[in-house]
Amino acid sequence: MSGRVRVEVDVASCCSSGRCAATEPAVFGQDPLDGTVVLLDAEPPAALTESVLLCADLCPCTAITVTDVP
Amino acid sequence: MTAHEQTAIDLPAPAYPMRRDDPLRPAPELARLRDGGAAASRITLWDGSEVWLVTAHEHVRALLGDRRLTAVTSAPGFPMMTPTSKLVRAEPKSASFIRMDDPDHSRLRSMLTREFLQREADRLRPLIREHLDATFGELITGPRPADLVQAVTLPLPSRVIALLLGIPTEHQAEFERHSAVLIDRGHTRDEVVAARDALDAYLRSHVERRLAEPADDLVGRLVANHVRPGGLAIDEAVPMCRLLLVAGHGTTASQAALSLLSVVTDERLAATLRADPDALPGAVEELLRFHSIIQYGLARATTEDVQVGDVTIPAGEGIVLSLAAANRDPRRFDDPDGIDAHRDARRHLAFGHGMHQCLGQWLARVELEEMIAALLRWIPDARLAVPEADLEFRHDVSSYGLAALPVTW
Repeated sequence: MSGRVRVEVDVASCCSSGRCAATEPAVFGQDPLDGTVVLLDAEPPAALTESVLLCADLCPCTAITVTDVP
Repeated sequence: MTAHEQTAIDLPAPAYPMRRDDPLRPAPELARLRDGGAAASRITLWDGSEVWLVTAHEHVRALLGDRRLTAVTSAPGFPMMTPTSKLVRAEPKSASFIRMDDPDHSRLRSMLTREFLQREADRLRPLIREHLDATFGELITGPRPADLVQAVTLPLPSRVIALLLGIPTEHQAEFERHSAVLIDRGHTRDEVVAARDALDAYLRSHVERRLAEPADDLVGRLVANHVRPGGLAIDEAVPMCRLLLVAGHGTTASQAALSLLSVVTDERLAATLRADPDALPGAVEELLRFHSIIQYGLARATTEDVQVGDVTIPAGEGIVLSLAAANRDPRRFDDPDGIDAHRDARRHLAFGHGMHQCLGQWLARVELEEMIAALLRWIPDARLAVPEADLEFRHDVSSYGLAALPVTW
């Protein structure tokens, strides 16, 4: 996966670790009340693909899914 | 027939924990099992029970996120890592959410999530810096050598938790004394029970105080938002507060002492940090990876058959997940036994993984960054005051650390 990707988040699985928002703030934010993930950009530019994949890897609760844009 | 009996040669499972031959490297036996053996192997704990050990980064990470594993200590097969864990198992009602599965775990943990967001940790940074400036300001006018453990790394985390919980300053010494008994390996069962009971009694009185007089601190908000409306019983709030203390005190102190040791002994690391303060957050991740103070790993039990690489672990068996071995896995980190402030160490498992991943991780990062920065700011030429071989390392229940860190300048 080196091209563009589509990002999905599952707020129900999110455990508010904030790893994604700290790693790639252009794509992920946090709800100010409970810290759950807020998706800011579901199809980020290709330059952010690697960083988004890292976020999915760092997420302790597997709340981030990244798929290739066909 | 157990899985153990299926092995062709029925060798006794090696004793766990295994012995280090270098104070700054996990036991060599762990690396041998990780790099050469099966995905899971059998080990024998202090009480003679046999459980599974998992050491590779890939498998440790996957299992920590696997909901077929339970963190409940009374579950069948759950590894009893120390006599103290056996004691806790006997009284499960005293358990905190770190020893629960969902939905109980999430119901309780979510009441604290907001308190430990990165934003909240950053908000404490100026107070932490101010406290450290006062500490170091006094330290540099005092006698040399100075012990950074007694002066800096032990008191700071305790002060920060007391501040969060709203513990009055005059009760802090008592608070710290009981906490020290709970985190130290060298105490008898009776001493541990007495310290836990004293701490619980104190924390109960603190919760009751907040019921009577509301205050804008963590316990005050917990009481206002959850105890008063009825979502949280006082009997649940007390172990919750105890968890914050025990989980945040010894661990942060241990990781800080070892991190400061690296800064004063590793010239390359110190030079990097002096030249480029922006390298500090990355260096803290690397030091978390390198030292992996939860040296004996995390305990879980299977609730179903679970496949780990080439091994099937049957339901109802204990597993020890070695964070220390995973964080030195050469398949994940190049040259894993070296400290490299510029490596991307963020995939380390020092804070665990999965739903139980450390709630206080951002606060720990802020405290570690500030302690290292304060040392470099106040004593840029700090060096060890004793030969490195004379340092005394500690093997506490919860974490690996230093008994003392004498430095001079």
